[in-house]
Parts: sequence; C-alpha cells; structure tokens
Amino acid sequence: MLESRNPDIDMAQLLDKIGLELRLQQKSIAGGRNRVASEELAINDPYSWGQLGSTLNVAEQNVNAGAEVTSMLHYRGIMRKIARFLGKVTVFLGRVITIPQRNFNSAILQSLRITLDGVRDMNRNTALVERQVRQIDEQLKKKSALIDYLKTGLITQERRVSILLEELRREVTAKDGSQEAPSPHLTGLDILDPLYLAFENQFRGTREEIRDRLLQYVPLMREAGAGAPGREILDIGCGRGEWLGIMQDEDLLASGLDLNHVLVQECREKGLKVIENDALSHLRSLPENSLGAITSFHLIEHLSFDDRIALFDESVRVLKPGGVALFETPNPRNLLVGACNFWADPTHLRPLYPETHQFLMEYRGFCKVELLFLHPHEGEQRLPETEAPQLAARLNEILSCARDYTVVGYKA
Amino acid sequence: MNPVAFVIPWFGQNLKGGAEQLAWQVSNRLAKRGHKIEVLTTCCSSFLEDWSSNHLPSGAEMLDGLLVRRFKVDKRNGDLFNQANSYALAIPPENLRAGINPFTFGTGELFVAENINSLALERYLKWNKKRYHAFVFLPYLYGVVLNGLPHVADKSFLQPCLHDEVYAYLPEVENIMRGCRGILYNSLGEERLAHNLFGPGIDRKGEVVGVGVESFDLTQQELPRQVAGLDLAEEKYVLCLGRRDKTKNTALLVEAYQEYRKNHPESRLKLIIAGPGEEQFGASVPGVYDLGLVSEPDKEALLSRCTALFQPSRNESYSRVIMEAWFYNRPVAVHGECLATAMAVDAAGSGWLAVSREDWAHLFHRISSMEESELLGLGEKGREYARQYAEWDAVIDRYESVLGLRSAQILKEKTQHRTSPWTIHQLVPGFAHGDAISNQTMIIRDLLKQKGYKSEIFTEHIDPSMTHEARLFKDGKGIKADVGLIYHHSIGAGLTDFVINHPGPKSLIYHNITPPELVRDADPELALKLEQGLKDLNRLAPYFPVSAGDSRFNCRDLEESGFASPSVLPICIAPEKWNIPVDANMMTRLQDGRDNILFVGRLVANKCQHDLIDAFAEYLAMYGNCRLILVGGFIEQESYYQSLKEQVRILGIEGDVFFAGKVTDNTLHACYRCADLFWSMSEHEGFGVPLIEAMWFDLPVFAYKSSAIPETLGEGGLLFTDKQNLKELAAAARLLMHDPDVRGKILSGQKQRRKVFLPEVIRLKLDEFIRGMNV
Repeated sequence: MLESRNPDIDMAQLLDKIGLELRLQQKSIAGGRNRVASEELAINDPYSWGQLGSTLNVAEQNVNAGAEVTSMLHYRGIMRKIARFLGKVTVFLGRVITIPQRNFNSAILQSLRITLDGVRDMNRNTALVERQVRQIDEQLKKKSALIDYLKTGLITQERRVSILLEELRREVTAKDGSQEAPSPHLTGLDILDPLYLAFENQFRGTREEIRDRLLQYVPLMREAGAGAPGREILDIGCGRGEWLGIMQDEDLLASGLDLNHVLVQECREKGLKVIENDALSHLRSLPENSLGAITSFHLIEHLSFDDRIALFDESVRVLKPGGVALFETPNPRNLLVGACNFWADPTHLRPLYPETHQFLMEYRGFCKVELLFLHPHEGEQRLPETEAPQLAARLNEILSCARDYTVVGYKA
Repeated sequence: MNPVAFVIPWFGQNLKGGAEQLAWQVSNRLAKRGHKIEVLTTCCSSFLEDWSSNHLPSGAEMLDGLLVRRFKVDKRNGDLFNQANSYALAIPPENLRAGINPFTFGTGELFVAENINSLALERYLKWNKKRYHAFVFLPYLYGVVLNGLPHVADKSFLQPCLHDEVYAYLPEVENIMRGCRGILYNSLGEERLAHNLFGPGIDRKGEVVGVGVESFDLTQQELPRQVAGLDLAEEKYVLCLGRRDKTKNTALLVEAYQEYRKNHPESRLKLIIAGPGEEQFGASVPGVYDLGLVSEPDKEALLSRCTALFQPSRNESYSRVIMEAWFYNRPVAVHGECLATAMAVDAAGSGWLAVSREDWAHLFHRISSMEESELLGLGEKGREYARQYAEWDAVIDRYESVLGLRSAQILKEKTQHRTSPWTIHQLVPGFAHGDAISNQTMIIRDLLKQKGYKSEIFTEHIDPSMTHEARLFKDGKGIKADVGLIYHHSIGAGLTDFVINHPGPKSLIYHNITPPELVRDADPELALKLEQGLKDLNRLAPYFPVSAGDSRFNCRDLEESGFASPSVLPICIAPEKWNIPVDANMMTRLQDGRDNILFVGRLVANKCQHDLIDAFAEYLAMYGNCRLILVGGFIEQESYYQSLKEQVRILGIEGDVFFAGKVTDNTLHACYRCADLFWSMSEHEGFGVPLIEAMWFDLPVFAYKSSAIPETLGEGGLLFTDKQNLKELAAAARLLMHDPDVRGKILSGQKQRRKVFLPEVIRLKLDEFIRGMNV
C-alpha cells in the first residue's frame, strides 16, 4: 500500500519495519502511558529556579527607575546633550513620584528575595525530610521482620522450658511415689452432650445460615496455602461440621475435633473426618510444624484464661510457617451481645474483649494479628436514621454493630 | 573594481579567537591575489581589553598591503552589559528554543546597546557604501556587526561563525541573518545550525566556504619517530587529540577503551591522549597513554602514524584536528550528536559516528581488525574532503566566487538587457499576499520585464496590501487591443467574455478547478461556481492556441475541454518567501516537547481532514505525545468545520487537534518550523504547493496518492494507496518521524525534488511558453 519513487527507499525493508513497529505496539500499551507523560511535560515549568533568580536581578537593575537619565544612545552629538538636559529636568520634576516609588521597589524586591530564600530553604528541607522518612520507613520494615522472627524463637524457648519443668515435676512426684494428678483440661460435659446439640439447634441458627457465614473464610485458607497436602486444616470444636462440610466441597484437606460425642457421631455419619478429643491434648500430641491452619468458631469463650493461652501456644507450635489461625467469638462491643445474647449459652465463661484477644495472640507468638468484625444487623433490624439521625446512628453503633469478631494470626 | 571591506570589532595578526584569525588570514590571502581589500575595525585593541577604550589611533594605515581603517568606539556602560549578559547565560541551554527570544525584560536591547559599538564606523558605512563592492561582517554577536550591517544590507555578506549558544537566539542576530545579501559558513554543521534557527528562508543565500588549515601549506618536514618514549612506527594506536576535559568527553572514550580491552584482552591497540588540560586520564587503565600537552612536531608525528583519530567531544563548532588527520590520510570517528563534526564526517565519508560507550567500544574493536589498506582508503576520502574545505587555495577560490570577484562574473553583471516595445499583460481573477498563483504572476511579470517587455498584472479582486503590485480590472481599461495577454483561469471569473473578445495574441494558464461532485454535498453553492468554471473552459478552448496547466494532471482537464497540446508550467516555489520573522507565540506554543503533525489546506471535504483526524487519533492511541495542526481557512458556520469539531469531540482528542484557521505567513512559518511530519489525506490537489513548501522545511511528506500529488512529489515523500488500515499508516508515520534511516532517505529525496520548482528552473519553461505566444 506504500509507494515511493525515491530509489534509495527499499520498500520491502520499509514494510518489514512497519510490521515490526506494529508487533512492538501490540505488546505494549504505550499510548496511555505516553499521554500521561505529555501532560506532565506541559505542567513542567520550562524556566527553573535559576531563571527566577536572574529575573529578580533584572528587577534589581531597574529598582532605581527615575533616578538617573539614560545615556540617550540613539541621539548624537548636540542632540544627545539637549536630550540629556531635558531628561535631567524631567527626572528632577518627577522626584515627587519616583522617590516613594523607588522606596516601594526596594521594599518589594527585598521581600521577594527573603521569600524566595525561604521557599528555597523549605524546598531543601522538605526534600531532606522526605528522604529521612523513606529511610525510617525502610528501617522499620526491617525491624518488624526481626521482631517476628525473635517472637517465634522466644515462644519455642518458653515452651521447651515449660516441658522441662513439667518433666522435672513429674520426676520429683514419681520419686515421692504419689500418683499423677489428672490435668485440669477441658473437663467433660459428656452426660449433657445430647442436650447441647439440642441447644445448638435451637439457638445458634440454622445450618444454612451458619454455612453462609463461614464461606467468607475460604479465601483466607487459600491465601495461606492451607488445605493442600501436608498443610491440613484443623477445626477445633467443629460442632455440627458446617465448616468441615464447606472445606470438603472446596477440596481442602481438613479434619475436625470435638468433645461432644453426639456431635462427633453426626459429623462422621456425614463422612467428615472428626476426632473425639479435647483440644489441648490433641494439639500436644501433634508434632511441630504439621498443620496449615487452625480454625475455631465460638469455642474460646468456653475456655478458661490458662487454657486459652495454652491453646494459642500449642497452635503456634504445630502450625507450619505461614500457617494461619483464626478464632471467632461473640463481639461484646455490641451491647446486645455483650449484655444479653452471650449469656444465652450456659457453658460460656465470659465475653472476650477484642483488643485483649488480639494482644494475647500477638504476645504468644502470632504475627500480623488482625481483627475482623462480622455479622452486623442489617436492613430492618437497624433503627431508621431518618427522624433523629444522630441518636439513631449512635444507637445503631452500639446495638446493631458486628455481632461476632474473628482474630486472625499467622505463624512467621 | 571597488574594494571589498572586512568589518570586524578587532583586527590584528596576533589576536586570539577564531573569527579574528579568520579575518586576518582571509583578508591577507585575498589581498595577495591582487584584490583591493580594506579592513574596517575599531581602535579597541582586542577582545580582552576594555571595549570603550581607544588604544590605537583612529584613521587609515597600511598593514602588510591591507588598508586598515580604525574608528573610535563609543562610551558604554559595562555593568549594564554584564548584567544583561549574565542574565542570558543563566538560562539553561536546554531551555533555548528557535524563534523565542531568551533576552526578556529589555536585556536584549541592553546587550546590543552596551556592546562594543562605533557610531563613527556606522556613519562611515552609511556614507561610503557606494565606494565598496561588498562588505564582509564577522562574527555575529558584536555591536559593530549587529548595528553596522543594516546600513549596507544589500552589499553585505555575513560570516557569522555561529554557535549554538544563547546569543544566537537574539532577535538582532536573526535580523542581520535575514537582512544580509549572503552568508558565509565555516562548516556544513554551522549551515545546518543556521537552518535550524532561522528556517529555510536563508538557505539559498548561504555558502559553505570552509576554513583553511595552515599545515596544508607546509611542506612535509621530517617528523620524529619517537614520542614520549613510544616508538610510533612499532605501535598501533588510536589518537585522541585536543583539550583533555570533562566537557570534551575524554572520560567516555577512556571508559569505552577499558570495556573494549575487557572483551579483547589480547589486543595490542593502544589509546594515546594528548592536548592541553589539567586532568589526567586513564592512569590506571593499561594501554592508555595520556601525554598531556605535546610539541607541534610531536603532534604531527602522532597524527601521521595513528590508526585513526577519535574525537568524542559533543560540542565542537569546527574541528581543525579532524582536517589535520585527514591531511595525513587517517580516518576519524566523531560523536554522532555533534552537529559540526558529524556532518563533516558524513559528508566526507571518511570515518564513523558513535554515541554511547558501547558504540565507541565497538569501534575500537572494528578498527583493530581492519586492514591498513582499508583504513588508508577511508583516509584518502577524508583528504579529498579536506582539500576542498580546508586548503586555503580552495577556500579563497570560494570567497572569490561568492563575493563576485571573478572576472567572468563581473562581465556578466555589466550585460544590459535589450528593450522591446512590446507589451504582455496578465489577467488573474484574484490577487492576494502569499497566494501561490499571485506569486506566480509576479514571477512571470518580472521575467517579462527582464526580457524587455512592458508588463502589468490586472485582477478582479485585490488584497489591499498588494495594490502596489497589481491593478484592478475595470472593463478592460488600460489593456490595449493589440497587446499580448496571459489569462490565469480558475473559478467564478467574470473575465471570460473579455478575454474571448481580446483581439491580440493570448495564452491561458489553468490553475485547476476542483471537481464539483467532490464538494456538492458539503457546499452546493460552491459546486455551482465550480461547474460554471469548467463550462467556461469549454468556451475558451477555441480561442487559445497556447495554454498551460500547473501539472500534467491539470492539463488533462484542458485537453478534455478541447485545448490543443497544453504544456506543463509548474508553480514556482522558492524558500526565500520564508525569510521573514516567525510568530514567536506560536513557536512557544508548539515547541512543548510534543511531536507535531501538520496539514496545510482549506477545510473542505475533498481535502479529507476528517480522514486525517481519524488516522491521527489512531496514532495518538498507539504512541501518544503528539499534536495535529490543521492550517487552513474556515468560516465558523461552515458545516464541514463544525463536523470536524464534532468528530474531534467524540474522539475525545480536543486537546490534541489544533485548528489554526487561516493564518499569516509568520504563523504558517512557525507551524512549518515546529512540525515533524506533513501528512495529507487529500483526494484532490490540482498541484499541492504546501507539499513542496514542506520539503523546504525538511518535513517528511506522507500523502495519499491522488490527483496531482504523485506528480508533484516526484521522488520526494512517501505515498500510500489505502486509507483503511489506520494502524499501518500510524506505524509508517511513526517511522517517518522517528526512524533516522527512513527519515534521512526521504529527506534527501525531497532535497532533490524541491529544486525542480525553483524560479530559475521554471523560468526556462516560462521562456518557451512566452515565445510560443509570438508577441
């Protein structure tokens, strides 16, 4: 489609070049990028600081306007003398105006110079501060990585010490010949198992509701690489097995753990892999770095403070690096939950304050610990914010906010 | 013959400075050839002294056979000058733009007024102009030249010794460059710089005379074999000669050599550096020898035996050392971005260009593997070039011919034109400033007058500013029955009946009528006028045995209308039209870092600006950073303009398409100067004057193949036959703007093509045409 009568133009070569140009174009989306560049170019002031300085020099040269007669170069000889004389007369008469004007000029010029110097200093300082901030930012990043590493190390050491102490204690007791006391773990409510199942069905909401709520955790599992072979997920207090069911559907490897014999049976009937055991003894039986994730929904509010700490410690130990642990529990920030609904379950011990929960996990060795607030009241359950909007908003904030929360933490 | 005067602020044999040395050499050498030469200068002794002191006595003196007249300098205010000077020097060089005055706030006037000036010299020039054959002013940036030249502009030759520095952008410099009769350049690079700064208007009055190098005068003496302990005959080395300095890029060369040695550790090729300068280079690099300043014989010896000379500096205005290397048949390598040296090497074909460190490193490798015979072959080409531009004899020959000092030229000037009692008038429908057809009629008139005819231009409509060039046509008043008549036909002329009835000898020149069907949809009224114009052509045919069209394409219309064997008389296009100031506002606006694509032509549907906008939008999407400039008249109500505006709005490129409207020549000058590509999608051009104008501005022309366009373009430009594939067109446009190889080839083709339309070429055809009229 191209033609030229220029003998130097090799048309085949030119067409090749065009083809190459088109292929290069397809690979990059340079258009958009270049357009931004052209806008930047327009913004850039072509004359920089140096120019501003020399412009002020010109102003300075003219600051004494009207003080002297010009050299009248365009006149010659006698004409020049006459012109200079007339000029002098004019200058003399004009002093009424020129003297205040000159004062004004110098004042303005002086102010401009001071301002310019100030702006230059500020610019320099800003650049300096920016650089420092960047440096501090980088240092912080390095430090926080170091802290994560140290935390893991510290927890391992603590654990080793406590094992040693335990062994020591046992040896001492053995020598004394007294019998080993049963450890005060989660103690049985075996007889009440069926009762609790009935209770759950009545109060926790239907299976479908629960499933819907749990689905949102799937991405967290996938991001942490949990559920893959070698990175199994363990759900502590799996209850009716809603979460296990979801993971089965999602092809994630997972097993459950519950104390309630009836619930365990129900889950097994559904083909879910569930172990009947209490949480701490099971976790203690697992080797280090063996799990991809540990989940537990509405369990920790059933545990004593000591057990909770033990649960966190064991979780950190058995998780593989990068593994995730999440614990969902009722949110006492919601006044209705904290004051009332929480107590609907007679086996609940006490509500857990979210930040405390987060703090504990961080201090027992988890990293990147975050709070997720879930399940607020929506739609008609909220007070309409039409009539007394401020009051309604405030009430909604304390009565209709998230009913549950989850603490998520990772092993470094 | 009257003497030739050299005008320069300072004159003397031992003055430092390129221009001062040049003036001394040239004036003396011309005087030795027997020409009457005078030097007009000031009583100030040198550049380094106070410019308002008269160190030397005023008056005439003989100096080595030259008559030197000295004039007193004016008093001046040195402080003001220094302030203005430092103001200008504070501007970063990368902010300088052609056509934009950097000396703002009156600093330019101060710079000129408080420069070295001599009213006495100016007065002498004014009153004694007739006594001289010609004046040569040099260099460009002093008051004596800036203020003196305008007094004798029509006899003045300017030897600017131009550099790319802030002073070159001073409007007073542009003023003397435009005003002088001829310009003498020292190098091709300087000529190119002037073209870049002032446009093609000054192109044809410039001549590269070159600068002689004294070593060519010396008979080759015995040169030392050893320099600084190195046996030159045994060594193989690259030489870098000249100031050793950061600004001269010496460090880059050393780095490149280091890289070369890293890749080729076995190489025996050395790098020898010599010249003045404080810093020491390459002390830690094996194979590099920095000799510092060397004696003249040592320098000659180094040059004569080097493998090649490498000159990596980016800011050279004229490199003497290159010429010296060529004198010894040695090839040279120079920095590809240094205008002066790169153009010399390119023109001589005796060496290589390099830019990056890798380029230089590669060059080391390349020459180390070249045979001596090959190097010698290249060097000989250089010697050939140096003979032409650096041997004083050849240089002085060129001065003689430019200044009109050859005896043959003098004879020619004295030839008188014969006079004839005959009259040939021209009749043209409209006459306006800057219009190509109006210009054509003026050229024809001048030619007729030169040939001794009486001749005037009559027109129906005249631009008020042009009344001194043409007369208004009123019922044939002033045109006698027996005079010859050339009738220029285009549309809507009420002249048809008059010319048919004119009894004297007559001829017709046809300037094309747009086919009515192309514009009927957009403008039915115009279509009717065009139809009438074509019908008139049929009526005219039997009465005009002699006829011509602008192009072969136009002649087809004539033949179809019944004209017998029309001839082709192309429109004259000379770059001198652009020897006018450029619109500074437009220059500022268009030189903002974006590429500019230009089309010049009225906004009418058959010129297909709508297709161009579509193609441009595609280009913009692919590459960005570009602007489309559409120059051409439009009336706000005209529906085609409105539809174009709408099209641009829908495409969302309002900020990227600039409708310049009908513009003055100064603004059009700015558009051409700032453009990077001339792109036409037009489907009807009777001739296409802007295509050739674009060639003079060194814009690659990219045009749709239609009507007379291929005929006008000839071997210039690049044609396309398909408007549909916008992506391919955009890619081709990109190459034309940014691929040095493609662009270079297109431009060199265009440089040839544009010559075809120069008045002196067209004149031969005009001559023949007028003879055919048998007046």
